[in-house]
Amino acid sequence: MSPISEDDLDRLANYAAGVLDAAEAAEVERLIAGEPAWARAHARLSAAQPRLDEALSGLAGEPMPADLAARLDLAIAATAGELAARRVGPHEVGSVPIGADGAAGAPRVAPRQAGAGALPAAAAPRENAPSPAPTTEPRRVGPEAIPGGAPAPGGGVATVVSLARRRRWGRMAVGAATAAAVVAACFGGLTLLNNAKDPGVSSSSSGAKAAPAVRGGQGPAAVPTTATGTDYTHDTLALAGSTASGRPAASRQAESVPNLPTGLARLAEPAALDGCLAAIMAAEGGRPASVEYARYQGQPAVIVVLAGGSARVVAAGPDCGSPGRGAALLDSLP
Amino acid sequence: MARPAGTLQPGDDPAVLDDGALLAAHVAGDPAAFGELVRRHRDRLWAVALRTLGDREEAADALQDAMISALRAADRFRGEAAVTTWLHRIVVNACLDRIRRRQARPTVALADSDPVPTPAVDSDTALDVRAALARLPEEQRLALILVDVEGYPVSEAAAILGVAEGTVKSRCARGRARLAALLGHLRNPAPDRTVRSETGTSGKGAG
Repeated sequence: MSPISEDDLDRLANYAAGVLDAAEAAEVERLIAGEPAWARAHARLSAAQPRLDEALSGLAGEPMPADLAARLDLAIAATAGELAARRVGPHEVGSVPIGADGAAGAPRVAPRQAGAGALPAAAAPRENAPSPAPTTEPRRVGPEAIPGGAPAPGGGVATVVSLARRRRWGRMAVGAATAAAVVAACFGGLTLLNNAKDPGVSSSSSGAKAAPAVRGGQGPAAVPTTATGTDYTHDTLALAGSTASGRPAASRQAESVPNLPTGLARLAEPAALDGCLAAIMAAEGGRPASVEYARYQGQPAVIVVLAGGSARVVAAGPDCGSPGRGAALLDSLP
Repeated sequence: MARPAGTLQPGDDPAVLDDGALLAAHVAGDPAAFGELVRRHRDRLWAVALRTLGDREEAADALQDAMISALRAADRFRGEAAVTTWLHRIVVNACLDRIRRRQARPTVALADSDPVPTPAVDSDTALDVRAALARLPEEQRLALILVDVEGYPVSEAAAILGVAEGTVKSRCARGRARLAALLGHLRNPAPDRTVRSETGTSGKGAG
């Protein structure tokens, strides 16, 4: 047998797909009729089609693994929170100026410093991302070819951070994403706090709903609070704990007004939060180190990081601290 | 207080909003809308990235890069394509970026003297279909993944890839032929030569 060449196999495939023009198709038909190698290749290629269908369709339907999906969710939540905070624009919190990008002035919460350092993949400003070398591939597809599609340096999708840099951060990316989400939410909370003071500024410009400030009283509610809306799962709950414990001291001192997920308005009241934290301490011991208004498996939840308790992080439902409901724990991690 | 267009309100169920409404809500400032949009299509986007790159971590990175890029540029989406097409296209682009970076490393050149598309292994030990798919030229691999693996109509695959439908058909046909060779479906009953091509050539045709 003299097998046909790769180019001829391409011709044969195109013939079978019906994409050749009439003259080319006629030439292939002539070869199939007159050349044994072409005839064999054609017959075998035709006979292989059902097996190919089976092999290829068997690759479908593989869902994204839960750990990677959680990582993606957190990165998106972090970046979405950062964007929402930026949309509010420059304001002041008390006498502390914060620039539009959070980098100017000397804010008590330093979201850019913390965010940029903690999450290069998602929080690094696009304008600071390195531009990839111009591609020589003429058939590059991407959003630049769709009007309104996502542009990127070099005409394609931006790589927000280099692969090498990503690898350097390695597995810390998930925790860092959470940190950025928390910090971004702090920033959003701070700007919303200012909005509440300034009747000329509508907090709706960020898409967030202004909520009562959790000022931090003398009780347990004095712990730093943030509102991210991040949707945690059992797997990612541990990340909330690790990032909260690793946050800069400055952010721990920050007051914030939570951008509350629906269903947590009651727990935004200091007295109710005090009751919730007391119930959690009664159940798990220790002291609360931070409170995050978020979600757990899609449901509104407060995520409380504990120091010295039997659990290091818990997720509690909206009824936390209500009479007869105890801590209303949804999950806890030792 | 004015409500930004598309912003979810308390009690709104994001699951009932269509993709366009979710994207509009995100652009209007809703911090949860884009996440919901991605969760809705995540598995299909993941499948494309995974099959295209063949590496779990790299696929996850590519998908994350693509979604962050889409999130940041969503205000420039004007609806000329379906939201899912737009998202897929960004994922495909992110995957191609990574493939080209990979190709910067030295590879085995196609042997000029032996262009025979017979499989690289005996039929008894034919390549796993995943490994065979990974050896296809990238444009053929992408077309096969979209159409033959994930089941997208040729028209949608063409929109995602930014090429004509005939080009997608040609890429699929040539990819299938090459795949058949790699899997040992075209070889003689007797042991045959092996292919020295690592990546092959794109060949003729529309694509």
